[in-house]
Amino acid sequence: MRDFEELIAALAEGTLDDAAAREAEAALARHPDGASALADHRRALAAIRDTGVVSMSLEERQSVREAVAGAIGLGVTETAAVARPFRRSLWPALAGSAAVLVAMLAIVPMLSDLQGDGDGDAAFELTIRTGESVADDAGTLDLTESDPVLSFGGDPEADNQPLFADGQQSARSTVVEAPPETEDTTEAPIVTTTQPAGQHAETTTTTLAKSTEMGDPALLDELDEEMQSPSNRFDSAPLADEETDCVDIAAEILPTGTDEQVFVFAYERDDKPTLLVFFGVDDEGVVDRLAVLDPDGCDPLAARG
Amino acid sequence: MTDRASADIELLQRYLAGDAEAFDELMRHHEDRVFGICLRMLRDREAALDATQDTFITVFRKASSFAGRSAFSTWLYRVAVNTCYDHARRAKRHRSEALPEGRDPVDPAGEDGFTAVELRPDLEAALAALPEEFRAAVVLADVEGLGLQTVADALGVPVGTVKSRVFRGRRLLADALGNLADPSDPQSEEHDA
Repeated sequence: MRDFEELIAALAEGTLDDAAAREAEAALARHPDGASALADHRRALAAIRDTGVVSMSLEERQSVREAVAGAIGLGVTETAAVARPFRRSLWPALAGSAAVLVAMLAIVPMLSDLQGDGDGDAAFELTIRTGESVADDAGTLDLTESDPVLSFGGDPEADNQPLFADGQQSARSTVVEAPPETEDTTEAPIVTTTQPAGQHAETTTTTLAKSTEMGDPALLDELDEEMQSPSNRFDSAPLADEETDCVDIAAEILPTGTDEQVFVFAYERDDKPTLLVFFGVDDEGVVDRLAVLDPDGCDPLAARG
Repeated sequence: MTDRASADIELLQRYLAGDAEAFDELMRHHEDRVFGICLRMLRDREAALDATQDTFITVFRKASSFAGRSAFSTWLYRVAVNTCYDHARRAKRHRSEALPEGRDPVDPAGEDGFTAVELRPDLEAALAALPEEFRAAVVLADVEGLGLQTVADALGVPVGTVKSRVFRGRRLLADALGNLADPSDPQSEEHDA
């Protein structure tokens, strides 16, 4: 009887190889209850596999942690705060902005930008701390734990080409440049993610360097000041696995229909999307284009590549 | 031992040495799965939250007695299942004392599609119809996808017993799903025929 049950279970689970499955089905055909038992198993498993993932809400998570910490004598303040979840309300804005980005990528030829005649003082580097795996099927970029694997290899003379002509830019649009006072301009970051010691493994901090040479200095000052503020730091985490429901900023791969991968960082504050940063990565893992968008109206704030 | 199991042991040792971050890490890695087990065992969100909380309190209070013969997660699931049994018994007693009708409370989850993705209602009802020990086996093995040995360790029964419970549990589940299905559903008719 035990063999019969195991056979049905294995067959329903699909864990048998083809030959074994054929043999099992033949054996079950001779058993009076075999076919109905197999159908029951398959029906139950199909229903179970059709289920979603259960998770606690932010408030529930915080409440449970605090209660547990209190009960075992840990001060609540000693435990790390629960990060805010990445709300799905962000995705409509992301979808709209992604469409804008695709149009931008189609309009601006990358090579011509990389060979442009810039001032030579505006090279920048984008370093993104990422995890070891990029889950293509899940469409997400894991941003945890490992050393940086992507870098922006911008040409100092080419990277300061504005994506939009002045007349095309909205009042809030600008072009982000590296600080002119930086001696080694190739090291001046536009966006850098770092992981301070002592911070959680899947939490990263992103800062945005400013430029006063081009664009709107007031806007950049404001942006920079906000982003340097400890209360407004970008906290990154992956979307793909169990930690991904606790993020302030998330990264995701957008389908483009080409070999190039386009990632998007979505920065959220007070449950509202406030900044979207898209970047394209070539097949060598080098970021070759970048765009920063305001999700409210999809206004471009800065672009490269 | 898997990387996760090794990491859990290390975190537990750090917690016992007074590292509050280790507590947080352990919570973060396991709280959703424990909550999922509790929710599917108890079918009531508030009860599941209470059981999740009690599970972790028990585990952290008894952390120094964890011998490491099984994975930390296996021990945690065992505590979770036993905590659910206790909660279910208390709830049953409470209902029989306080309510004229033994009606299961409705899980208020699902109001927020992001934070509370739940099982299909028909599957919830079908799981609810299973005897407790069969439900535990099906929830751990099929819903949570744990290995048979892990389920056996978590339930404190031999692997053969787990196989048998899963086998019978699936059949009962299929029966319950069939009974719950729309009679006009051709699949249902086919199944019943």
